[in-house]
Amino acid sequence: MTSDTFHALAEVYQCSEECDYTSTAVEFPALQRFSQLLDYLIRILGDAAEDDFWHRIIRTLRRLWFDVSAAPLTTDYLKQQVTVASRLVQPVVALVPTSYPSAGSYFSALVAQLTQMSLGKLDYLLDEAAQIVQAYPADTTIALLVKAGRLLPATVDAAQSVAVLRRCRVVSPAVLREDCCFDRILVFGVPHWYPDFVFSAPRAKQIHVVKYAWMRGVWRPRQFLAATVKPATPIRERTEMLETAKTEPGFDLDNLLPQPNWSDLASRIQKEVDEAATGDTVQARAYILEDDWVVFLEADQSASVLVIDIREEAANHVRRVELSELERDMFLLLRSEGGGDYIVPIADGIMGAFAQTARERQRRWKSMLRERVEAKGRKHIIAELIKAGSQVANQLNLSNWMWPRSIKTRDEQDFRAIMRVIGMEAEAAEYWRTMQQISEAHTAAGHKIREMLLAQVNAKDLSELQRRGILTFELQGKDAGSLTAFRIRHIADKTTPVTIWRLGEPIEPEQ
Amino acid sequence: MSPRKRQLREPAANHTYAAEDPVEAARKWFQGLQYLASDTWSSLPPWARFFLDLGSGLAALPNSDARFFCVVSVPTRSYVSVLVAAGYIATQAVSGEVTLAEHIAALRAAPPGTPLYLLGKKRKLRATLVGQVSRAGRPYFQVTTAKGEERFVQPDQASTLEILERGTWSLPRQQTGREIEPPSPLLNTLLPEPDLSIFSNTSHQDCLLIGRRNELEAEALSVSLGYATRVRSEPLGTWQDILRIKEFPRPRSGYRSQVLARSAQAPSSNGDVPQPALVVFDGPGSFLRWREIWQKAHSVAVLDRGDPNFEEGCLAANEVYAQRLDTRLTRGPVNTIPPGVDVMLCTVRQ
Repeated sequence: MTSDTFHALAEVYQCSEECDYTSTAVEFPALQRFSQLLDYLIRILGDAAEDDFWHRIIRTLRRLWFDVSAAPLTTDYLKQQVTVASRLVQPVVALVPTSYPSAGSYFSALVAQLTQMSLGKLDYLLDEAAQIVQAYPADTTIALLVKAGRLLPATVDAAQSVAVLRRCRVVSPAVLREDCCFDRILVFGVPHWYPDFVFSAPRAKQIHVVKYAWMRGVWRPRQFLAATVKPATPIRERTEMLETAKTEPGFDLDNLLPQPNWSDLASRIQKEVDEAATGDTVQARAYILEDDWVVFLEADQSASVLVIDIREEAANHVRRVELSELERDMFLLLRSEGGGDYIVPIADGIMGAFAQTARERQRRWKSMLRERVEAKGRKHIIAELIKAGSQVANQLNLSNWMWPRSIKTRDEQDFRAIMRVIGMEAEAAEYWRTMQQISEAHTAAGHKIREMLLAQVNAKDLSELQRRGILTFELQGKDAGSLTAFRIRHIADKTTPVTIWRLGEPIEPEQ
Repeated sequence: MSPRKRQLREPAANHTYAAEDPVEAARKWFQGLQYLASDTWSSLPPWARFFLDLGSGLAALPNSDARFFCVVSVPTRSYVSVLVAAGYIATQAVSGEVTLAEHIAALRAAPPGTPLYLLGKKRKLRATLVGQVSRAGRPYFQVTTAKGEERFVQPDQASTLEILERGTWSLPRQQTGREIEPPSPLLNTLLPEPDLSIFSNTSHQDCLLIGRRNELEAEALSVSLGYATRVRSEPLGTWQDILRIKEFPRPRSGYRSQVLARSAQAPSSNGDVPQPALVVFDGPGSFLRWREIWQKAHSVAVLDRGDPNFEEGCLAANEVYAQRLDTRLTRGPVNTIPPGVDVMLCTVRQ
């Protein structure tokens, strides 16, 4: 940071003062018809839209609708998406009228509309963007704002394919939190699809909204504070400047948005996880990540995870934080390749030849404990553990002790109690020492991974992470695998029981 | 902690400020501040002046059993907390003479063996406090500078004793001492001697900034400042010259403010908890995490509209506002509000 940074901030305040909002309406009757049919279909289906049969179909159609409506993409790219959707819906066209009679005609019409769209032009937003940019002087700095991170690469390609758009920078809303300003920002779609700060803390002297003619929706300044000292210079009234839709669309745009219902998404994945899994469950919280990836992390908020904090100085870009500190828009680091816990292979390397013995001992006492629990039941074993001297034996701790990835009890007294209950009391001291060695190796491995990551992180362009919301880091070294940083988009309010081995594993969104 | 009692002082001769009112004096000084960017000196931009003035205005709010609570909603958090704190501290510096008294009280309370620097005319020596003694009916602080070498300092010269934060140190048999860092040339345009030395050598918890340490440090140290009436070839200082944040580099040992990382553990109640007059929450995350502590201090919450926690921060701020005592402040702390900035201000019970 320099004096120049301080100097440049004047522009941020200037943008707040001068920002001009304009809007352009684009005609696309075929998409309007598609939107109406999709809206009707979703309404008629009601709760059935979340059934296993419909869920994937509706989700794919909503995504397609959003892709066409919210980013300046090429016809080629959009046709690929139409083809994906067509492949999904065509095989079931004949089934719907009998299984869902009320939805049959709408669904057939929708599929026909999809077919029609696949034959024609789809890049109306790209064309309009080119026309708008063409009119700006050559030295104008322009950003093309795209809401969904997954659409950024395709939008970059689209902008590169049109000569006049090559000078534009394709950005996500997160980039507009920074202190850099543009002369113009082109926003695609309805303003309320975007975070409020895009408009209330503008980073351009003009924001140009490009949306389809039948899309209604304006940005209205919201008063977040209960009462404010009246500004000496009133903020200009801007609300009327964005409305261009002249006719009622006849349907609800928000009904079409592929915005996931966070709790539904978390519970759906949890259900799938449960159906596929066996074994113990623990209370966990769902974290919805960029591009709708989901990860479950322990409900215990004192547990810690690795994050990338790009606002910290370089030496602290990678840091371990307690779960209670996680917030939306932080970047969570998760093992994306190599499977399971990223600490284990490195910790084993640190232990060297002893690793095999140590892991065998770890597996042995845990499997014996599990067998004992299966034979006698949890309540019985908890009672036995307490009788044997454990101070903290309960359901949660017992699950944790049986979990293959946990290493040892916090207190040696509890460990001795377990060893007594499983009939290995004679080996308790030796096993405790071994578990301590594993624990120390894990701590050292954590430091080593952080160093390896830091080297990777500092070598990468983190603005790409800020822009895209996902970035993968390949760790150097045998069995090191890779870690992926995901932007956190939502943190579930409630915890839910999840199979223990699913903790920390990023779960891919449905395609 | 309640706001400090202020005593007005006769303006110093040949000095840049000459006003009876510390707020006016501080604001006049802000008008003369300049910054260097791209090899060009410029006056502070209006948005920066506003936040300095806001801090200054808050320092002038009347003493009472209530504390003020100020929320600023901003398009960017950059520099806002630093400027509000600088405005507040500069005004306190201009207005107060209690600092020396507090320093004397701190020396009186310090146990024998407390490490010190004894400032001479050109050099400073390591010393340890022996205690208070009376000589010829007058009180003195007795210090040891080297083995067996005793010095006696009258209370009105107490600013020549800098109290170190470190626990102990061993004194050499002989010492030539270290050169004394010159007082900040930037502050020299605000404060005359001996006030400048008192400000630089003594400590007071004017302000606690809670936020990201690296961002606050960069902002405190990065802007090259000058003053309009001086030859401006070389910068005279940075915001840190005014803030004197304990955790960041500064000449002399005295500090005026402290920084707490927003992710820090909650301070223990064993006496190490800072007791600032003003707490500045840099960002909604800091406000949400720490707002329950320091219920007796004045507070400013800087809420960046681009922050993911902005709306939650506003809701929490509105809850505080709902318990307001009075919004009719006797002295308006704000003038022209910059575009894109909203201010909410009230007093709440301590």
